[in-house]
Amino acid sequence: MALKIVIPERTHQEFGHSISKLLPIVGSITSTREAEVELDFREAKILNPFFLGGIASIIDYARSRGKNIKSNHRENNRINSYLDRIFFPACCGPQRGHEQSFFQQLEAYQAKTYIPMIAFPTGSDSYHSSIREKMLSAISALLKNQLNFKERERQPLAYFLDELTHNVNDHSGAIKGILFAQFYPGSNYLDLVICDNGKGIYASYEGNTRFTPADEAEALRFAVNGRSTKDRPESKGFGISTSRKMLVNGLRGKFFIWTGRTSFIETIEREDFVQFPANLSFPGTFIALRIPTIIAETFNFYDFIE
Amino acid sequence: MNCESTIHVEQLLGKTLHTREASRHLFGFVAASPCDNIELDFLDVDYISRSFADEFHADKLKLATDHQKSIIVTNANDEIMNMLQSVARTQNKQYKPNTTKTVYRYSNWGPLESYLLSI
Repeated sequence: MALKIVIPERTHQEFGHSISKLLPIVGSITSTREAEVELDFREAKILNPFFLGGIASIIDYARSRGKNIKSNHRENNRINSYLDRIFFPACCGPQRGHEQSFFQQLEAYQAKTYIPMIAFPTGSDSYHSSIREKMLSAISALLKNQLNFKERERQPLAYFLDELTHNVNDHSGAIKGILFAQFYPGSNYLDLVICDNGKGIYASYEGNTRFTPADEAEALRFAVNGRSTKDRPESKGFGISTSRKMLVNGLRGKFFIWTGRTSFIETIEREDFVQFPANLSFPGTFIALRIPTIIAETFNFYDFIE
Repeated sequence: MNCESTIHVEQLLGKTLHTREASRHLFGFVAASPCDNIELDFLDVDYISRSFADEFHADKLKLATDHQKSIIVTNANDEIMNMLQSVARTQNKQYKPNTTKTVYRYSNWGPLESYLLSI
């Protein structure tokens, strides 16, 4: 018998709302013993990138473990064209030998307020690093145009894209990461999600002789405070720590990271480590950023670079 | 060899440099050069990431130590200069992780949902 999961009608604007809708679905899919899962999109109307990015990632994870995941989103006329345009849930990305067609595909999003769900490849060989280099360049340029950003405004956005995708490449052990963003012009913010189905932050410290976190919560504490999971003397591991500081303290945005059953949430008002019930575990790392698109004149990008 | 050669970074790597691997690639060319003094010409390079700058700094030091080669950066725009300087300035910064922060643990969905909806 298949596990049936009803996708909510909408996720609301509040930062935590879409996360609260995502958590139980991730928990259900990762903990079910059923071989088949049916995602019922019949009621869905408006869904946020945090929710959709997380669902795409967990579908990919479950399929990689042999689960049969079915979705009826194509039967819902209110949302199917949007989901198709963002390549939900399969994601788009450069295929070896056909890289150019992917980059041409991105051009079609110049006049949109979102980018498609992109599966970016990991790997440090010259092919993968040059593809990632081109992708980051293209995505950064695309978002700059969509948001009508000047260079000064583009800097933090490019920084988040660079640092957080590098983390996936350098630490996750995953073969790919997922990146997705949606701009909300009426509310003046961009929601950006970057996630992977890799080994998670705690496991990424394994074998590290400098930092040996005792548990998942301490590992996340190390990561958000700039202790690198890389066991190299020159490595600094500032990607997550500087990104959250720049986002929250510099831009007054919001930051959420979830790995295993542990999360860290930072806004102007709060800075909390939160451990979820055991069945609400994310396999890998999930990062959600709400990035304000109106940037204070007093913001200085270089104040946050380390 | 006591000579100087120039590497045009934009021609080799492009206008925007995002990854650590790009720096390693660049320094692979530098190391292969027979000259002791290498000019890295950043003309038409628009952007470098912090990761690139961090790796660039480390690679530059390693090159000086291992190969006794010196690097001259030319035609870098203000942003590239600022990024390289910011990263170089904070190389030895010590970090004190905030270990006093409480971890809030939820074992039931109801209170957790309320918490999430309050963010």
